[in-house]
Amino acid sequence: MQRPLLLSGNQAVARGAYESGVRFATGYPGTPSTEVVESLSTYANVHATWSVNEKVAMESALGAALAGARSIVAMKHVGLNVAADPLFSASYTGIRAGFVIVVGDDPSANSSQNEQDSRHYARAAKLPFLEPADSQEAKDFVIAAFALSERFDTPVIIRLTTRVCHSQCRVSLGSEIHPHNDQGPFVPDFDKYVLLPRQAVGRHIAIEKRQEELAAYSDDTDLNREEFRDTSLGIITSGVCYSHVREAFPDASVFKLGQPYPLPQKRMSAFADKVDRVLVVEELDGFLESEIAAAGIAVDGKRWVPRVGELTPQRLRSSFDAGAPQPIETGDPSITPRAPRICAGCQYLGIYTVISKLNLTVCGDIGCYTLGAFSPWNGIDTVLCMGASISMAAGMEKVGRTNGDQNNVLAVIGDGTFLHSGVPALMDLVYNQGRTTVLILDNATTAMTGLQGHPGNGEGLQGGKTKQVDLEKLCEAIGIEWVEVVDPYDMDATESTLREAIAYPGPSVVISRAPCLLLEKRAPIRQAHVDAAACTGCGDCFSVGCIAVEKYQTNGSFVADINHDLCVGCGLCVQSCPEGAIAPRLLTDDPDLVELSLS
Amino acid sequence: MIDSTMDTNVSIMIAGVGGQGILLAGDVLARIALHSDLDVKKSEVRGLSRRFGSVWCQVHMGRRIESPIGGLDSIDYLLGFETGEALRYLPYLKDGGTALVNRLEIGKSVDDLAPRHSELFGDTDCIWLDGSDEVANAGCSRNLNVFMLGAFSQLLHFGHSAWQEVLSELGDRRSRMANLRMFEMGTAAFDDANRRPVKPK
Ligand SMILES: Cc1ncc(C[n+]2csc(CCOP(=O)(O)OP(=O)(O)O)c2C)c(N)n1
Repeated sequence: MQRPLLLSGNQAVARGAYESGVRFATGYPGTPSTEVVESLSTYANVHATWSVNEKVAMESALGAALAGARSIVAMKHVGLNVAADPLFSASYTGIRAGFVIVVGDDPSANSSQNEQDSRHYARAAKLPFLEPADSQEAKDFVIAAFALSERFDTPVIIRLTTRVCHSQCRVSLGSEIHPHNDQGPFVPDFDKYVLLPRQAVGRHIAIEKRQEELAAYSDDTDLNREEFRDTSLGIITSGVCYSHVREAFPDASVFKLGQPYPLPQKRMSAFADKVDRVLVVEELDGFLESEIAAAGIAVDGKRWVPRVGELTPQRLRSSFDAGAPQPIETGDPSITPRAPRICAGCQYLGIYTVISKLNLTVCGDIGCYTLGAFSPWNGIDTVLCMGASISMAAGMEKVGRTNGDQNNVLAVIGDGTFLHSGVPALMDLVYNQGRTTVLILDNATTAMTGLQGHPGNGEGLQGGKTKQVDLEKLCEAIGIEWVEVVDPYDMDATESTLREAIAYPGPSVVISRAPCLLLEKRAPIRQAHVDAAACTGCGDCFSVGCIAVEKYQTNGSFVADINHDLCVGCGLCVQSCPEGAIAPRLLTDDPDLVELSLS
Repeated sequence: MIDSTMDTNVSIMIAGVGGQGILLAGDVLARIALHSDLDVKKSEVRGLSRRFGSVWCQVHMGRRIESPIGGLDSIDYLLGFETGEALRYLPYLKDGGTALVNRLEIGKSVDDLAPRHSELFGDTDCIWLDGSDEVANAGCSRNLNVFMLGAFSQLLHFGHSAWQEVLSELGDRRSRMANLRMFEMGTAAFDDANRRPVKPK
């Protein structure tokens, strides 16, 4: 037998999809689910793409399923909000070939703007979901999900959490011979695929019946499993919480739900009858608890199981012992927090140094540039969700400006985010005669989630250049009459262009254009050097916020010092020094000096 | 030193700053467990923190592993690639656990922790290493992670050849050579540090 492999939950999902004969995989990047599609793109016979956003991804994957090919779509929890519209109606159309939706929730909001619990979507859209506890189950459950999808003519949600997505565990692979399970080309079915009002009501009736059948299946399937040990305590749980329960309560009987929704009511009642006391252990909301309670089973759970933040066996146990939720586990709070930093030499350093001088209200957006909200720039006043910078700024400006006043609101948005959901907001701005200035940060990639391609850089996921969106032409076509491109490494020019844009009596767009430094890990050809004798210790260079500019103590006072392991020679600190004490120096030897890379 | 039968599970937490090769070090530990036919689960921080933020990774190995993550007061070994980060995650180390700490402070040049090290680590069984200096002197600044693994290898039962096998699976030929050298250096540094009294007071 082949030795098991170490796979992350995301990689295992991809493998499961491959073993299921998936032909089309798409999604939108976002931690913790990014690697599902990335990993699928490496398999032969799988057509894998990044979509422009989650709604588009969901719709194209459904289209592929209706056209007869098994399809999978993956996104992070907040992505499912973007895709909620097609989600609810895909429940009505049903599928032809299997259709699986992977969603990654992020308890503790490790890399997210909220801590939402996406299980509610399954109930709201009347869809079954499966929840694996580890990588092996992630692979196996995807295979089960495709079978379930085709058997009941329904999209099936695989609900993951960060801990399952990113933990690596042993996985025994299945057969590589992918079954020929294509359903043949699309066959029209008016009453099913054309959701007009009359059709919708007809489908709703079918969906309610499907719900009953799925509940009966839940009572049948071995995805759900009772484990009897000591019967004084019975714990109902699912997903990664199962493994925490096994450590925190090794002797307890456990009902492990692989298909938590719809609930296996009969078996659950039987389980409850056999144990003295029933606990429900789940992260985030009391989703299972309310479902189980609604089925008439007396349970105890969120009274003491924390709702906020990730669980661990220790936190679970201490909450149980205390009879009250214990705080989220973090390191020693007395150690100064170490926030993530903008890379040395990134264009965003120059941009935020300029923005912080302009005294504007800044509506920010989501990406690496969100880090501009931290000191020394404190350059962002709002961050909500992808695409919201332009629309929120437009709203602020509408009520904040009395006639004739200068616009004082700036929207800052990355190129990826602009294409994801900023474009409709820009149209709205023009249509509704707003005057906001929009700063698009074009670094030619989706940097924060790991350098994925997008329509703005025209890099296809499985290789190959595709068409590139021309941002200037796009803005002009929308009706923006003032569009300028700036070089963010020239802070004076950037500042005067931004000031002009803000003064312009109409909506304006400034595009800051410089490729992300991580795209080409090039060794620098020059680096900054401080003339310690000329440095007065004024600290202006620190206002650029570059991690390569450090303080060097000299008895009582300090001077600036450049960390040459980090400096890429961008020259921003050079421009910031009022004394001319920092100068660029060419590097002639050791081209290997610096390698930019994420850990 | 853990017993060679692995009757009890071992949990390891690596803490440091994004860019120090923490996740790769975790990969090596997970692989060596896998090669030794042990059950293993590895958890880590992904996403934003990796940009020079606080980063950790946990590896749990043994006969059978349930949870991929340990909470406060549960970890057997803490490998601190940066002193401040080691201190931050010290509450995860269980009573009687061991910390291996690299003497390095990133971004703390003003408020220096160094004079208070031994005080801050209290009664923890703590082995101090000058990893950053040693790898820099050897011209291998990027291989601190392997140096720390070399030191830590002295506390695990896996044989030398098992480590070599796993290390040789990583990187190109040139970095493999550097890795092996830094691993040996870490091993020697551990033996050195261990011969000295554990807590410099
Ligand atoms: C709806 C939604 N999908 C995905 C994400 C994950 N995400 C955060 S930032 C980002 C993209 C950022 O790209 P870009 O705007 O180009 O900025 P950059 O990171 O390159 O600076 C993504 C996909 C999210 N937060 N919300």
